[in-house]
Amino acid sequence: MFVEDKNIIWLDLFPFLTYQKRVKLLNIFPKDKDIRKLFLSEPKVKEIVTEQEFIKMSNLLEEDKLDRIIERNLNEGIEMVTINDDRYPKLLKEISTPPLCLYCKGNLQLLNTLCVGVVGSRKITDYGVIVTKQYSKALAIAGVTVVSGMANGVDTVAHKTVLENNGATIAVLAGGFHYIYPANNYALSKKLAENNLLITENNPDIQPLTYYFPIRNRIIAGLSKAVLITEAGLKSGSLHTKDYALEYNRDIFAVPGQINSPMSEGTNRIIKEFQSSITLSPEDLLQSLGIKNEKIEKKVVNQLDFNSQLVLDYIKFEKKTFQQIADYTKLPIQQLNSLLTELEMDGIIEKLANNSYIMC
Amino acid sequence: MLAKVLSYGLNGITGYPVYIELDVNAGLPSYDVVGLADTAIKESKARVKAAIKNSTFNYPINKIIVNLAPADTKKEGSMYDLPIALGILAAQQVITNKMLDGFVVLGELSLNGEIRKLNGILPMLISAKQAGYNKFIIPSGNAQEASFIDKVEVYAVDTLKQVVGFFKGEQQIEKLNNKTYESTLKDHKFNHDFAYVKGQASAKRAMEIAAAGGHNIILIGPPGAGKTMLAKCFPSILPDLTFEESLEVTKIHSVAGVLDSNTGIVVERPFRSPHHTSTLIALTGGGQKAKPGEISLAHNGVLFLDEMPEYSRNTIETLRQPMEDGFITVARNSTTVQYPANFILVASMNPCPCGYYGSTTHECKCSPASIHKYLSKISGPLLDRIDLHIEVDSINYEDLSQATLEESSAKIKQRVDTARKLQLNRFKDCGVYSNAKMNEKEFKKYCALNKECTDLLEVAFKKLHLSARAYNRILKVARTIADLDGKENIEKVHLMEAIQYRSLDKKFTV
Repeated sequence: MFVEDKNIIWLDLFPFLTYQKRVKLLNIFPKDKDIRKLFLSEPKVKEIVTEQEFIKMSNLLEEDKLDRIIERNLNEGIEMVTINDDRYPKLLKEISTPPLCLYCKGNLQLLNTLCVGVVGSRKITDYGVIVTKQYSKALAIAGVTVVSGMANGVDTVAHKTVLENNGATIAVLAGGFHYIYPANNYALSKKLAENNLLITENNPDIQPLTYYFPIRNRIIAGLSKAVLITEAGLKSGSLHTKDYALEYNRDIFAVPGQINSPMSEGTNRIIKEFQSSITLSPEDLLQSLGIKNEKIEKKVVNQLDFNSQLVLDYIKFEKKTFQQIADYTKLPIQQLNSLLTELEMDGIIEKLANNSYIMC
Repeated sequence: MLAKVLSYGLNGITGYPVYIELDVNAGLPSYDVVGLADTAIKESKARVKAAIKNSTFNYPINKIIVNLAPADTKKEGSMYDLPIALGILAAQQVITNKMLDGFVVLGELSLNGEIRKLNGILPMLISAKQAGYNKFIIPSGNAQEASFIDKVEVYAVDTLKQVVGFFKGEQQIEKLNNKTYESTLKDHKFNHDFAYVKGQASAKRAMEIAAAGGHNIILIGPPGAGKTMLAKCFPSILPDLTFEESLEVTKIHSVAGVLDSNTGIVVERPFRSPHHTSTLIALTGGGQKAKPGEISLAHNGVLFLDEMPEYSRNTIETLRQPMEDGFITVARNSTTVQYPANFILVASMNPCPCGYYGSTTHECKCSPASIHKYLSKISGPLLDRIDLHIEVDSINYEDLSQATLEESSAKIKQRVDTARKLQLNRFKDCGVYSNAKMNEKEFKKYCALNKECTDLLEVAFKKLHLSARAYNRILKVARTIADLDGKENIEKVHLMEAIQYRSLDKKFTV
C-alpha cells in the first residue's frame, strides 16, 4: 500500500474532520510523504484543524497503529480503494466531492460496470414492491449493476430481486461495516458480500448517524449512469439522491403512481418537474438507457385453462383477497388453493400480505 | 380400641391406597395425626368432632391417635374426614371393623355431619379399581363422575348418619347406576358454529384440515378479522371424544377441580384459552401441589393462544417439549408428576404490532424493525411445530350483511370424521392417532410422493423460498388433504394446496 493511500485511511480514522478539512490537509503535505511524520512540525495544520482536533489527531501518530487497523480490515475481507487507485470507479471520480476512500466488501469488479441506481421510500405499498421487482429484474437480466442503499423498502426489494435473478448489485452503506443498518438486513449484507458488493466511505468503526445518510446518497448518484425512483413520498430520502443526480448530470427516471396515493407523491412531482423522467415499463427504461434488451425474454404465458384465466382476469389490475377471488370464481376452496399455488409457482401471480393476490 | 379404614390418596392423576389406623385409648383427651399429613388433614379434628356430635353420636373423651399409612408419603386434602370419623365410631363399637372391610371411603365432613364434594374422585376410583378394590363410599356430589365406572359398587352418601345406618344395616342405600358414555353424548351442544362465521373460506378450510389431521394451526390477521371467533368454533368440528379419551381428560379436570358436577364427565373436547399474562407455571402446571396446568387441561382438546407474540417468550418456548412428547413432567420438591398434554395448538397473531400490516382499510404505523421484532418473538423451533399458517383477511361488508347461513359445523365434522377414521385404520398398530403425530417410520411409508410430485415440490421450494423445515409439514398436511379427499396417495392438487399453508416460512416482510 502506498503512502498516499495510508494518508487517506489515517484521516478516515477521525470522523470529526469534514470532507473539506481532509482535502485541505492532504493538499498541504507533499503527496509522497507520510503525513503522520510531518504532522506535528507543520504549522499550517493548526490553521485547518481546531486545537481539540489537533490533540486527538496527535494521539494517533504511531506507525503500527494504522498498520494494525489496515491489517484488521484486510483480514475481515474489507478492501480499501482510495481515489488514487485504478479500481476506483471512474464515474464517481467526476463528482465534486468524491469519497477519498471506498471501503469495499465483495466483488470489486462491479465498481466499474454500468450502474443504475434504484431507490425509493423505506415504507412502500404493494404497488411499489411490484414495480421495483419488475424494474430490478429487467436491469439484472440486462446485465446492468443495480446500485441501492440496503435500506428497508425499495432498496431491499431491489437488492433481493437482483440476487434472485443472479444479477449484479452494489449496496452503498451509510455507516461502517461493523454497524450494518438496518439490523434486519444483516443476512442480506452477508449474501451481498459473497458475489456482489457492499461499499461505504466510512471506516468500519463508524456508526451510521443520521447525517451520513443524505451524504451517502451522493455516492449512489455518483456511481450510477441513471437513477430510477420507483416509489417515493414527499419526504423520502431518495429525493436527495435525485438532487445529487441532477447536480452530477445523471439521467433521472421516476415511475408514475396514482395521484391520490401519498406514497407516490414524490415520484409524481419529479415527473411534473422533469417530464422526460417518466418511465412506463422496464423495457422503456432500458431503451432510454440505450441498452439492447435482447436478453430479456418476453413473458411466455402458456395457454392457461379456463379457471386460471378467470382468476387472472379478476386480479389483473388490482389486488384481491382470497375471499373475493373465491366469491367471484365460485370455485371450491381446495381447488382454488392449489390453483393459486400453481400460478404463484409459475411466477404469474404474487401473494401479498393480508392473504391477497395480484398479477405481476 | 383399634380401628382401620381404607381410603385413597392422589399423586398427580394416579391414586394410591391410604390406610387410616385409629387408636382410641384411655389417657388425657387429645387428637394427634401422624403420617405426613397436611394442615387440612390436621384440622379434621374440629370437623370430625362437630360432625360426630351433631349426628347424635358420642365423641370419646380419650386419647386419639390417627395414623395415615404409608407413613412416608405426604398426604393432603380433606377426603379423610369421613374415614377418620368412621374409624372413631368403629373404635367405640358403634359399627364394627368388619363392616368396613373392603370399602374405600372418601369424603369431607361439614360441621353438621353432611358430606361434601371432593376433587379428584375419578382418578382415585380408576386407580382403586385397577388395584382390585370394588366397593366405594363417596360424597353424593361426586356421584355423576363416579357413575361412569362400571363393574364396581359405588355408594353415594349425604350424611354421616346415613353412612353409619348403612353399615349397621338399618338403612338402604342404592348403589349407583352405571351410566354409559354414549347416553351423555346426545345432549350436548356447541355454543359456536361455523354456520355463523361469514366469509373466511380459506381459514375455514384450513381449520377443517387441522381438525382432520390433528395439526397445529396459527391464524394471522388484522384485529377484527374474526380470528378468535374461528378458533372458538374449532371444537365444534373436532371428532367426538372417545370414552377412553374422555376418561383421561376427566381425570385431569377432576384433579384440577374444574369438572362440571352436573355432567360428571367431560364430553366435549376441552378448549382452553389462557390469557397472555398467564405465568409459565399456569401453563405447564406446578405450584406447591404440582397441579396440572393449562396445557394438561387442554389434553385431547385445543389450546388456544390468542395474540401469541404477546405471551412472554419464555412461556411460549416451554410449549416446545410437550408439543413433541404429548406429556409434561412437573417436578416439585415434594413430588414429581407426569401429566398428559396432547393438544392441538391453535394460535392467533397480528401481522405486526399495530395489526394493520398489509391492510387495505388502515395504514400500518409500524417500523420494519418493530415488525421484525414482533414476528421474531415466535422462534423457528416453535414455528417448526405448527403445521398450518393461514392468513385471515378482514371481512368486507357484503359478506357481513349476507343473510344466508354458511356451511354448518356438523357438515364439516362429517368430513373430518371420515378422514379421521381413515387415519385410525392406517395407524392401527402404531400407537399414532392422527397424521400430525406420525413419526419417521410412518412418514416414510405414508407420505411417499410420485415423481411428478417430487419434482413439483423441488420447484416450489426454489421459487417460493420455503425453508427446509417446511418439508415434513407440507407432506403431513398434504396427507391429511388427501384423506379428506378420500385418496390413497398424495396427488399434485393435495401438495399444491398444502404449500399454501406455509406463509410464515416465506419472506413475510420487506
